[in-house]
Amino acid sequence: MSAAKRSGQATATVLGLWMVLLCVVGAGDTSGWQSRGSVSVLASWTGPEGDGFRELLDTFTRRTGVHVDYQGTTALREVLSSEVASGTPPDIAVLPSSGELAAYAGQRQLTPLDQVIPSRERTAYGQLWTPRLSANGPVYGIAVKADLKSIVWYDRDRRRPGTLAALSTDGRQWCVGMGDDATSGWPGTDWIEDLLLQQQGRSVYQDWATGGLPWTDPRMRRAWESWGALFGRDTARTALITDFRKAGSKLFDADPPCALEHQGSFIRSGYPHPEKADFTFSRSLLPDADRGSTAREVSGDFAAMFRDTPQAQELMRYLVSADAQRTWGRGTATKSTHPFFANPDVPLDAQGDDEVDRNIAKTLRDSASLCLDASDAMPTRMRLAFQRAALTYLSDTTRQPDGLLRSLEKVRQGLRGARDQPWLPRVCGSPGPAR
Amino acid sequence: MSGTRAFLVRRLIALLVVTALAVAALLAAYFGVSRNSAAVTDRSTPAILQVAAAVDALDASYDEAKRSISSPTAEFEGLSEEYRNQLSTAKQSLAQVSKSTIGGESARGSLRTTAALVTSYGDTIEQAYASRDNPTLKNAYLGYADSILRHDQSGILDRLEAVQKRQFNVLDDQTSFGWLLSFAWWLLVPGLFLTLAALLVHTQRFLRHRFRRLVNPWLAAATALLVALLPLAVFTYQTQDRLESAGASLTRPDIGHTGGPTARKVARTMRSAHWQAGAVGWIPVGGAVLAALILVGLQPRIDEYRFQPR
Repeated sequence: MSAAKRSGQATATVLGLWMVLLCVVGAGDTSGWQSRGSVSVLASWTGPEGDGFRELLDTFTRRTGVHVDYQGTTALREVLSSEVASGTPPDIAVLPSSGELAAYAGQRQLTPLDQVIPSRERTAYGQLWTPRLSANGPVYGIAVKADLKSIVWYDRDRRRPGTLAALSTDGRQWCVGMGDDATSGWPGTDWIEDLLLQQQGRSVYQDWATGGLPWTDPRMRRAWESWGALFGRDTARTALITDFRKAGSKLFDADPPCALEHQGSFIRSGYPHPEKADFTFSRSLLPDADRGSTAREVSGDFAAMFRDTPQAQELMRYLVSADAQRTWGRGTATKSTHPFFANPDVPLDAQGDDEVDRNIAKTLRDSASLCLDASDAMPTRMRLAFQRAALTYLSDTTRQPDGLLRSLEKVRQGLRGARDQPWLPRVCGSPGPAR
Repeated sequence: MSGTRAFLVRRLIALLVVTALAVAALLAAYFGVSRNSAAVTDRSTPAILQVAAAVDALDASYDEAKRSISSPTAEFEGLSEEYRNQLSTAKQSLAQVSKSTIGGESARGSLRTTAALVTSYGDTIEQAYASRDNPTLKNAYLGYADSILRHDQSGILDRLEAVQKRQFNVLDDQTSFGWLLSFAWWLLVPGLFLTLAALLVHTQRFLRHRFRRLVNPWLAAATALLVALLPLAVFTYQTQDRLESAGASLTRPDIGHTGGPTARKVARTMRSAHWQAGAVGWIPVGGAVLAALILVGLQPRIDEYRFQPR
């Protein structure tokens, strides 16, 4: 080998080393791992609930190679609306309000899911869980998680079911809290909704929740008055200044000041002793309710697609599948927060680990008549006015609700024909596919 | 004679390899400190001060709102100017920092949520004002507003504190001389430069012995160039010192209402660190010159043996 060749090799070695060094420095700037694309998801689950959902998304990523960028926020409505307004919506958002879903659908921000989800999977969900803008129009969202309302919680170690009815007529026996930061007042709307549903039945409720029944209707007024009469001044005022997360924990105090809590199935995980909590249907305890009522109020978290990408479609199909929900349920079954599902194909044992949880799941699956939370289904403006009216009413239950109801009616009238804030065409139905 | 040629080729390779390693190590070690001076002034300082300003403004806004709602002049004064200023300061700070936070994607998400919650907080205070004639309702709304602000973990202030903590961690990384930099500056860089100097001196003596020339000027120049390490080490020491003092200014508890002076103080502290940071561009150039001097110094000696039979 000639000397020139050798010294040429030496130079090449040095150059090579430099190249390696530059590559190492450059690699620090790149994210490295290449995936099969990514999808962004916005939902309201944070804390342990958020962790459970994230685990599900990780399973999806492992299976498909699609990276999921999850953002959980307790201010979902505001964050989503600012992202949509700035033209950078998430690919998929999970909305707890079917009314907001309808508004986004009305503004043509959502992709219809009829082409995305195979019809067999889609029709497994009842119409109730797949909101549309018109009776036979396209589906814009599917409930990937559900909760049962129209129930009353109590400490089963301390109270026998037979004694509850007697307790329920005393307003002081109800643990109530209206506070929930920016959305304070919603527990009050739940009370009014359930009172109307259990007193007047499903068709009046649906008429009202879809914008057909005036707030000034005597049946509506009766619901408000029975609420005010039940609580009286003191319970009402305590409710106003109590946080809803703290209200129910009083059930388990050593010397409990109250015995009953009217709250959805999600509250159980927040109790200090979830294993002691049991529920009964609210029809047997609410004033003037039809004791034979089979209608149950429910709430759902609806997944909707703001951007139509192949990855978003894939994740959407995954989220609504019974398979994914079983994984989600099993993954969180031993933890404190149990998700329940609207998909009738998810087995009951994947939705909690005791009889109480299974009863909730069974009710969601088998009830003849379920109705979505009316305030969640209403246009946002109506919902906020409703929440504030509930708070105002509680500040002085001795005053007749007529003035408040007239104001609410004005809001309803003002929303007539507002195309960007539509009412849903229906909120009640049976949970499964039409048979 | 072929033994000499082989030795020289080996020595050339060794010198070039050690040069490459020494210059690379110096570049990394120098860059490791100097890049932080720009990051601290341009990114960390505003991000940290904006979060602190938002926290202070929001914290003060609540008491101010409460005071102005109960004031006998509330009816025509509305919520006071002071409250509105504080709320608008908080909103603007959050809007800016949500773009420029140094806490990464999770901090950005958290700041978006916080900005939304500040809007809700303002609405709730407005509701309290609107209900000022109904003390029960007014107090309930003030309670909700207080909870939006101070709720454990999910409240605005706790969220901002978490973001700030993340930002302080980044600042800490930027202003502290970590083990990697200590290793680079105390062992790796001096070790490599001393090795290089020793090799150059040894080569020089070998050549003097073998070729009977007093000195190889190219290799002597290369050896002299190594002294440039000293000012760079001094610059690094000074930059690090300034970074630490900037870090101390930014972690004082009162930065929320001394944002302007603190920012100026940090800028003053870091001013001369900036041109020193620019020296980073000269290191590869110096390295190339060093390699060229070595090559030019040794290549002719190697070539002298080219046509001799083995």
